[in-house]
Amino acid sequence: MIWLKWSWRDLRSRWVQVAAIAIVIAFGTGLFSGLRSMNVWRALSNDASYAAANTFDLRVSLGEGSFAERGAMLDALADLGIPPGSVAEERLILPTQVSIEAPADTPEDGAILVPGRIIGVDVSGGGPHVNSLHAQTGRLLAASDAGQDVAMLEHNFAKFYDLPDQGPMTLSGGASIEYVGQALAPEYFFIVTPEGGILAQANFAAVFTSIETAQRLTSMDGSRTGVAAGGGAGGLVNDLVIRLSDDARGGPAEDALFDGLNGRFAEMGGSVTRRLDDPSIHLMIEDVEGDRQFNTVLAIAIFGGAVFAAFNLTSRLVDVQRREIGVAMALGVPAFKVALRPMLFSAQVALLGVVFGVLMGIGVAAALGSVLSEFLPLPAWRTPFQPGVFAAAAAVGFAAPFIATALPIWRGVRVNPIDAIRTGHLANREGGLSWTLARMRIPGGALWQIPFRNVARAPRRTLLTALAIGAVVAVMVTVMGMLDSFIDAIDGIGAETAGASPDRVEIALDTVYLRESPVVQSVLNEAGTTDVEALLRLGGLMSRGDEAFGAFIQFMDFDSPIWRPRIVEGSLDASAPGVVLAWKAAEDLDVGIGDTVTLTHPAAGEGGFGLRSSDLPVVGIHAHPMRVGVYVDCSHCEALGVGGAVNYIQARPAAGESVDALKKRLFGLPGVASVQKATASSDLVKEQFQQYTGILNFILLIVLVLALLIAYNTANINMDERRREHATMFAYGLPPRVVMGMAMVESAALGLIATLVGLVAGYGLLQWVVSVLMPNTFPELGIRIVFEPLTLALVVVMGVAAVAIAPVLTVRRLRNMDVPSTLRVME
Amino acid sequence: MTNAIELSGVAKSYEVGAVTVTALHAVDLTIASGEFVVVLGPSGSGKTTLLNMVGALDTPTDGKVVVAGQDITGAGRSELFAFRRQSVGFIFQSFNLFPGLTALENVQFGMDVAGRGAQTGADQSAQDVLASVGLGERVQHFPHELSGGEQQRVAIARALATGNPILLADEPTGELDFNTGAQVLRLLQSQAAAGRTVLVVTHNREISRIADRVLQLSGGRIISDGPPPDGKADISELSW
Repeated sequence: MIWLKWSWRDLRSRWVQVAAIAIVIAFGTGLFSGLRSMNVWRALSNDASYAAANTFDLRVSLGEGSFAERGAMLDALADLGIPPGSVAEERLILPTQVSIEAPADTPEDGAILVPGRIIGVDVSGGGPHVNSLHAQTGRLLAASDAGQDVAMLEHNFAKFYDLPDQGPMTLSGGASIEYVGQALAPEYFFIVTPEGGILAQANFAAVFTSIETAQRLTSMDGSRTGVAAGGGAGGLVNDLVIRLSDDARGGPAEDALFDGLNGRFAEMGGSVTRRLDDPSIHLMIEDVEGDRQFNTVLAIAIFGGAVFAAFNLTSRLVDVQRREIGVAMALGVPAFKVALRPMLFSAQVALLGVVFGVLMGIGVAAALGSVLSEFLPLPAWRTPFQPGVFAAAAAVGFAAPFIATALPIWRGVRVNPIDAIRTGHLANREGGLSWTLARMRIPGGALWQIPFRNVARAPRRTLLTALAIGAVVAVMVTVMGMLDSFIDAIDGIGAETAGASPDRVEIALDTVYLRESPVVQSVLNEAGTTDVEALLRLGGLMSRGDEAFGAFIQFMDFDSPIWRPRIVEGSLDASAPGVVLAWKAAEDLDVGIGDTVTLTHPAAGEGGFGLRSSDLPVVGIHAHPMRVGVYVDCSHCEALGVGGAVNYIQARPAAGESVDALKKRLFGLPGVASVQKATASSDLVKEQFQQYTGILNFILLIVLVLALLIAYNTANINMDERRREHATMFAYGLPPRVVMGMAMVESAALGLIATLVGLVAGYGLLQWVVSVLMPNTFPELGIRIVFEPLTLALVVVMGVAAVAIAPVLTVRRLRNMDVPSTLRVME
Repeated sequence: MTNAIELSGVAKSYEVGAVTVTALHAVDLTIASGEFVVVLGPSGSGKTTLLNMVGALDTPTDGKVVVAGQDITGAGRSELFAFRRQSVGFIFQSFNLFPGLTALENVQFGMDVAGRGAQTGADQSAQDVLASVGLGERVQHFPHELSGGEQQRVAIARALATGNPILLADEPTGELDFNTGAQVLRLLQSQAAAGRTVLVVTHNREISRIADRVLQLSGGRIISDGPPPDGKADISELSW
């Protein structure tokens, strides 16, 4: 009992340092448990939401310009044999543009005009039954809405612009329609554009309506001529989603159906995908895993800082108790009993940290959960308390610092009692490295020597402190490096998209037309444009060997006066068929100039559009960070089976014509799905990314506070240990500001070492995030490690400054020092 | 002979909880320049308080303190710091050397603090001071590499290096054996002979035998003041 009481007294006498260490441990355990809880919640919520939405397991999308009679895709599926208990529905999905009046008191001026997608679904019998809609606001579509001018608006888009629960909107072609609610749908929980753009809710509006309404609004109800397929009374569809029974999901039946569908729909240019192939769902699932790994590493780094700091404190405590340990051992107290007091001390520090940490974890989890559910709305958010996560965090939070302190205690009790009792000039001192470092000459007078000698003469302590602070600086480096790298990638997207024509507009047509068709001609002859080019963009697949990924193929003029991709290797050589790939695509496929890749793309066949695979050489590599963009010169379109086809037009506004005016003018033309400035999407992504930087800046602030806490603890211990030296300085007339200045120089030197340690560790961590984590989460995005000089300077200044100012927090103790008493203290 | 130290009616009281403890009772004292004075007294007699008053480490509750011609009674904090830099040098029982600095650097510290470190030949001067205390061969050693006596001699060298006229030593031989202690006393005596005022506080009566003057304190009062009762002895006659 006496040991416990004694250790409590130790605790009380050093309560400031104990509190600081406990808070650092609390940050480690709290962040770990909070962030891990959030990861678990996200995984649970994803599962619950995708299950509640009856998310598809398999999907067939007909190629650009390919349609099927309503019912034909279901018939084909029935021929293949659908597992009992499974459900399938046809859909019609086409590009559109949405115009909605911006609410008052919002930054948008007048109408919001963004590209989007019209999704016609089966609303009969409470449908859609696959990829069902969740009414976040307003009401769901009912069977009676079939064919009516009513729809639901995708919630993320509506939320971004703070749109009302319901209201009017206009779609391309001038059709007015009423949205009756805001919907969440599984393919749009996280908005990814067809071009692979993420965080796209500001510039992408999905509109859900009945299949009959969608057909009517897009003239796919049998009334249109000149498209690839005709269309009878049932109208046309181009998409099929299948939700398998629980028994069939993930088993051989699913694989067999997948293969069967591929074979059946390939001739129609259809591609078959599984649930996880959907870019949005993939990102939602992989992001949780990526976040989990990243958060774990962050928490471990912070936690490592806490462990080193606790180790340092206990080491010093054992040093302070050296004589008492010696006396106890001289009196015959067994070593384990002698060790009990410092062990109890470290156990109590760890326990205190864990208690704070659990409380902090609950707070962090609640705060993050609330922010996340607001930021990423889902039909079902599941946030149960995670006892396992908290128990694991508490166990590690307690054990790691406790075990870490066992080493100095073990060293302390192994010392010969007489050596421990000896004082002053007879006491043993450190040798080895400290002996060598202490002899290093530093230019300047004696006053200037002291801070650096203090750092050099105890290398073990310096290293421990540097590791503790370095661990949190590493987190700072990683987070800031991530920001720099992301911003660089986003800037890269913006710059490459803008090219030499940042003002150009992209006019997407609602389907594929022949160049000579009235729809294309009416746009080409539009008075408000100049340098107009009719092009073709098709979704496809790029592969080499076993490596394959989705591509967005653009058939363009390599000599275009409006826009061309910026080439970083090879050239825009149109002399023979060839492809120009993104550098990320070239890296992923491991190809260079002259190598051959396989491009699978829609092509016109005898019965309409089907899929064709073409082996083409790589003629150039472009600088766009997104890997999906593939360019082929139009002169080879005929050979590739897409001659004369057009679904996209780019143009510059004519002199005196504003982009907005041109957008409004083109919006009303028949066949025009959307019109937007080419850089609109990248501009908005950057704006959206600023929201993330706020969260990352908050993490930076926490990290900075942690560095300051650890540094404060070190400064506090130093002030304790050096009090006699300081008293001697005062006796010799050195003013407190000079003594404080010396302490700050010592801390700054320590901060510099710690920052260097943190920079090296942080860079390694950043490399792992960028080269391992990011490709899993954002496989489409080519991101390179960028660490701006300004960021580097900022890290060094923050790392060094935070540590350097720590002694200032002890200035009161220094000023109030009882100099005569301190000078007479006998060791 | 001018006065180095003048104390008039100096009193010092402390509040310890609800109790007022008086460490010094209206002490009057004058010490001339170049005097070697030993203050004797048992624990709690007020001898260290007296030394602290002279060294401006503490301020009196009452009375007037003039040291090296400077009235420090009502001096502000920064004036007291400046006074210590320019007027006194301290020697402590447990040496209080800076463990991170070599012997030479500890001496240079004294010079730097007094503003003499930047003078031409300061390095040589510091080495000369160390040589004068018999440590010319130990200049690059760190305190923990020196014996207790050597450490105390470095401490004296540090105080001497300030060039200040008054040396204040608190139990300078307290941690030393006789032979080493005798060496230290010889050094202090030689400083008084060179014109410095040396004030040594000790409870060791033997040391008082070599002083020019012995002050005996008891209960915060000077109970005797004068030359050693049996006449001034030579250091070789001491034993403890």
